[in-house]
Amino acid sequence: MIGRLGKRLMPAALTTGSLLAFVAFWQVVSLYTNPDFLPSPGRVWDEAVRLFHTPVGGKDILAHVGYSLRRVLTAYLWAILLGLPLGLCMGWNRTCEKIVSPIFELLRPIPPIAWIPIAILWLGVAEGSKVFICFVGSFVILVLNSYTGMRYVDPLLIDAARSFGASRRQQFFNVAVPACLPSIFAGLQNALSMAWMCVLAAELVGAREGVGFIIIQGMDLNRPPMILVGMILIGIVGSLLAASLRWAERALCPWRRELV
Amino acid sequence: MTEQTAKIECRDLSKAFHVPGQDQRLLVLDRVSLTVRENEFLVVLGPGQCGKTVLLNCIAGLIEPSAGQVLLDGTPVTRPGPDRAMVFQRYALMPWKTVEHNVAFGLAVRGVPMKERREIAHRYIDLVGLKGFEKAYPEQLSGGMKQRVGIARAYANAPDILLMDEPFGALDAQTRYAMEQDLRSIWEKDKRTVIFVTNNIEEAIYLGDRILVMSVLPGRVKAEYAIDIPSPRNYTDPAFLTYRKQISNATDLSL
Repeated sequence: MIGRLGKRLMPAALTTGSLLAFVAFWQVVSLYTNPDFLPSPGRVWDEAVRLFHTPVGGKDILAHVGYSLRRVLTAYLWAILLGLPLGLCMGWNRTCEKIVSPIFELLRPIPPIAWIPIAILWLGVAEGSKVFICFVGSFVILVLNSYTGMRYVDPLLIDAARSFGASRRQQFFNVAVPACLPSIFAGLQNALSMAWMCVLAAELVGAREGVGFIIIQGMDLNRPPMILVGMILIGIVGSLLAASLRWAERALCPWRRELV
Repeated sequence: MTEQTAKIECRDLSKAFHVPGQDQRLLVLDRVSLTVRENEFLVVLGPGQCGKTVLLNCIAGLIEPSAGQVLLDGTPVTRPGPDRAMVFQRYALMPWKTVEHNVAFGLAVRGVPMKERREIAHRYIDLVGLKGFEKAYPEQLSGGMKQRVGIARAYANAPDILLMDEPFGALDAQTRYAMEQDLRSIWEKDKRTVIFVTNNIEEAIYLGDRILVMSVLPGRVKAEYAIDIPSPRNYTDPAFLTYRKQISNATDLSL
């Protein structure tokens, strides 16, 4: 009886335990450190409460999160709209692969951050350049994942579909695309966290709003707690985004067995 | 249509493949000719590497022969079609589809309405003994059950011809016997023209009306046996054992 209840509570207990241990460790370390370098968890909490009530740069903290999120999601949707079909076509059609992949292989190794200067010159310091950076980051990942996923589709499944008289179109939409859904989801997951990373890089370079701006403000005002609040917010929002995608994957790919 | 009409006819079928790193093309099928009567159960028996699968793929229309032709009811085969259905050794089920949707695959491809698809799928799921597993995913089934889905999928599309490519090759001996018995009784209930490829003599004698023995590469038809044992057949029947001795003496398949 205890065993069964224990099994159900165990994961939750482990999660809470590990978070508490982390905060405790932080608390202990902060006791022995100059508080100007590493503020204690309590001070960071107070700072978070203060930021919720006092606007920074004319906007409250949730509005800043909203700005960053909007940039990320706009870029992400464009990346899905353009990158997914492109990657799938590259994996499906030889001609398409031969045309696109040489260009893509050249652009791929350029880190998204390296696009920041040219993006600012082209699109200005406002929204355009930030969305563009996020787009570049997530687009590349989405193309690569859907392309690889398509290349690893078992040809036997295509043969089976062909033997039942499926047209080329049916082979693509009813067999090949669902077969690579798992790698598409891996790509969606990675692309979203990449976009989230890129938005911060872009905001650090120059922004008047967004989570990146809060961190830079913290640095300019010499307020470590403010920087940490910004960083923790980034972590929380990022993991919420990842969790919602994992949930979507479970709902859309119920046949997949998972190890954990 | 008379008894004598050929349902399937292969005329001097040859197939050669280009092998990377070799100048000469590898001859896999060498002027194979055969005929199959309507509703006959033909077994093609041969060791690995005798071009059995290539022969089947040519008849399915999945690959094009280098020479010769395949005729179905007198018409040359150029592409796959709903008149033929294939059962694969590695099952080839769609992992994202439930048993029901896998079985209905061929029907969905042909645009059969949803309700009718469901009905037909359920009928054949019952026939292969998988009632209650309609909503399961292939991943949750054993090898034998997966192949039952494969057989139901082929049957559900109402083909004239079933092409079976070592369908029980990946199963353990026990399951294999059970599947052979079930396949034979399903076929007796619902007769189709079958070409069944195997490397197992027992399986060939248990299932076939007629057995074609093929040689190792290049694949040729080496011998032909008509199996005249009434159903239900028994693996230890004297007549069965006589056929078995006769065929294994005449072939290089050791048993």
